[in-house]
Amino acid sequence: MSKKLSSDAESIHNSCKSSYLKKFNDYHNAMTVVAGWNVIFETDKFLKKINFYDWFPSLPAAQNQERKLTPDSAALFNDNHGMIFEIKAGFPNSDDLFDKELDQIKNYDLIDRLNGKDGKQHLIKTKDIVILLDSFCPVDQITKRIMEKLANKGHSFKLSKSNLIVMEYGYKEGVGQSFFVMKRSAIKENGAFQDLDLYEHLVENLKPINIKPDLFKDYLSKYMVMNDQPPVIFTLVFLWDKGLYKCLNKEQLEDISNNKTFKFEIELSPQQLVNMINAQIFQQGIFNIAEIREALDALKDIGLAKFDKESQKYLVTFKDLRRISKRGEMLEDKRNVQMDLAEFFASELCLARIREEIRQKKDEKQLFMFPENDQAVDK
Amino acid sequence: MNPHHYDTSKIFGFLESLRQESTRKSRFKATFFLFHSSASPIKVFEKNKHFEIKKDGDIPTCHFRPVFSHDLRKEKKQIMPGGDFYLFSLEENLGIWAICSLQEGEFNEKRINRFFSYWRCPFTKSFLSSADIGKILINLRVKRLNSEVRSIRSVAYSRHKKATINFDDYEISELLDQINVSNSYLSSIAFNLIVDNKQVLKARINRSGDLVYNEGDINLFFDCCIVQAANILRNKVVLLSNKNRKKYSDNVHPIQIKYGNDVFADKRANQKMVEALSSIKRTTFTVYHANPYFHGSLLDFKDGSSFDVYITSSKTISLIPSFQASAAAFSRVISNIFETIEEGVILEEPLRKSIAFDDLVASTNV
Repeated sequence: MSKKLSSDAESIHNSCKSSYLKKFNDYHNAMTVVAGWNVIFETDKFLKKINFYDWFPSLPAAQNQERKLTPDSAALFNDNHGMIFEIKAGFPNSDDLFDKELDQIKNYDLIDRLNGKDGKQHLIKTKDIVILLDSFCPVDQITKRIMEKLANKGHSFKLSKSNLIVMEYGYKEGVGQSFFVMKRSAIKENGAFQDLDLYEHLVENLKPINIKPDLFKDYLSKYMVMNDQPPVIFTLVFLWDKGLYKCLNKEQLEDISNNKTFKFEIELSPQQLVNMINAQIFQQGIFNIAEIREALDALKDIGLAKFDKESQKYLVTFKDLRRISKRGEMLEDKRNVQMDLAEFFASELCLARIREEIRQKKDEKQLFMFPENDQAVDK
Repeated sequence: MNPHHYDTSKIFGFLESLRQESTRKSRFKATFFLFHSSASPIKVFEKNKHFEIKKDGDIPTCHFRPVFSHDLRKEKKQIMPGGDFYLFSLEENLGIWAICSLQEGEFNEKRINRFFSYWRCPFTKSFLSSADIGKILINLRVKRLNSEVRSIRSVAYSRHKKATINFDDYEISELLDQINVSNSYLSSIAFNLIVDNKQVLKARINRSGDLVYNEGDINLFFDCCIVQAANILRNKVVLLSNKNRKKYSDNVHPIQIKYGNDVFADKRANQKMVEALSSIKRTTFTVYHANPYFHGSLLDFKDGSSFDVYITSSKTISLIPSFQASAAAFSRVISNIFETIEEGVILEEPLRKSIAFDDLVASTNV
């Protein structure tokens, strides 16, 4: 029997999948913003001015050194000026949630030292906090709202030691060349950069900064994960694409190379996997155990892993997913077409979620027409 | 690679003696499989139970033992044919070798070519693009006055029609033009070298880098076709080897594919890249960003090589290898991109010069 979703279920599935994929894309875009500023600070105008550009720093709060703050990146200038960057795909509409987002920015006001290239922390005298918003959201409207809250003496959002600027980021297609573009929101309430070159270009001349992919691609390949928790699809893709292969033993490696089909059971604890990734893939550990556990649980939900409570280990089934997507119910094209991993995992997770919901509601017949003993993943 | 580095007289003599000894002189056929190996192939064969070294020396004779298997599902016994082959050192210092087989298709395909794709096989083969094959054949024509290379039968694959097209009895330059115009790539070509209206050489070259001698001047075949193909292989292997990112190093070593025309002018063409990556056997891929620029990644299950793939402009693709990246895996990815999108030029990405801030300020309408 063919696996078919009812049209209602298909629409739920599609919107669920889009939501997972949006988080995945937002995360990648945020990486691009961090890489983009790295490119800017490598240009002739900044090379001599910048002491260190820090990807995903962990910085102490001025009053409480134990408290660590984690903006997306930070730049220490030689004249003890600092820039702190926070990237957001958007701001929530509701006032409470909007203010909650601003609390995070408010905390960055407490940062009084940044990491330098000598590995030491340096006190900064002046500081710009830059919020970068995805150009798909109403940037000017959000900027205005932020700046009004900042100017409102009765509001809790206050910055005493920092200058706040809101920028937007996005992509633009030129002739024969696409660009990653960053520009300052032009509304008059927006803050201005203290650095004169940035001021002249972005504030005075109201010009954007256009970066060719060629300039930032190396960074994207070198630094794969940010310090913000990656969305689960991102971690899953990383595990399937890079991490789990490293866990195969010699016999499995031989098998994978010589046979057209392969299917291995890899037994591991989240800690073992974190250790392996940190030792073999990253120089410094960036994935933490909670993120890896979340991804392993997701694999369990879609039928690609089992969890043994006694040993607290997961038994992951590592195999060529093309054979599954070939029969995947969401694929219109039945040829030997491979879905990309992000889409595959998003699709399977949504199916698992919908099924779980159905099980709870015991309303299976209304929403789905699944064959008996249906499995999300062909085993 | 200079052809004079070879002790060609020995090789020519050997090949000629094989031809003379052949019981099927009229249908004598020698297939050459070119490959790169940093280790001595003879030692590899010595250690492998499937091989037997029958005669060592300048040109060792090896035997590939037959394999008997029993397909339980089909209840059928299968025999994988065995056979002899010869090992030529083309440029030992650079690790360029050729296996020469006098046998027919089944042995060549099921045993020798399959061995090249075997996990433990430390040899690297590389594909020949249409331009590579053209270069070999045009060089052959240049070597002889009043000569022309004519296709007897050539098979090209049309990307547009998604079907093969045969180009029979074409002069080589004309054939290459036709292939270009029809948005195709050359898959194999059987050709004649005709000098003063006489057939001087009959041979065949295919895209996976195998060269077949059929009849005629074997010295010329070796000197021009094999040596040229070995040159191309050597250059590719050198270009694509040791590009993996080293542990504790921040440096990446990208490889570029450059096109002379705006292949990705229309961003819908990015979808072609998804098609190219998704069609590579035994890999898994991810699209991180599809439009307007493209960023994807790929893991090759065969040997664990992984790459990031970027379309950085309408004329450029960049491949950034990760911590593991073999020349063979690079070759597989590039070959698929060539076949699906268009054949371009492979080169090491030039070291980035200092960036001027003004470059980032430039108009996007460049």
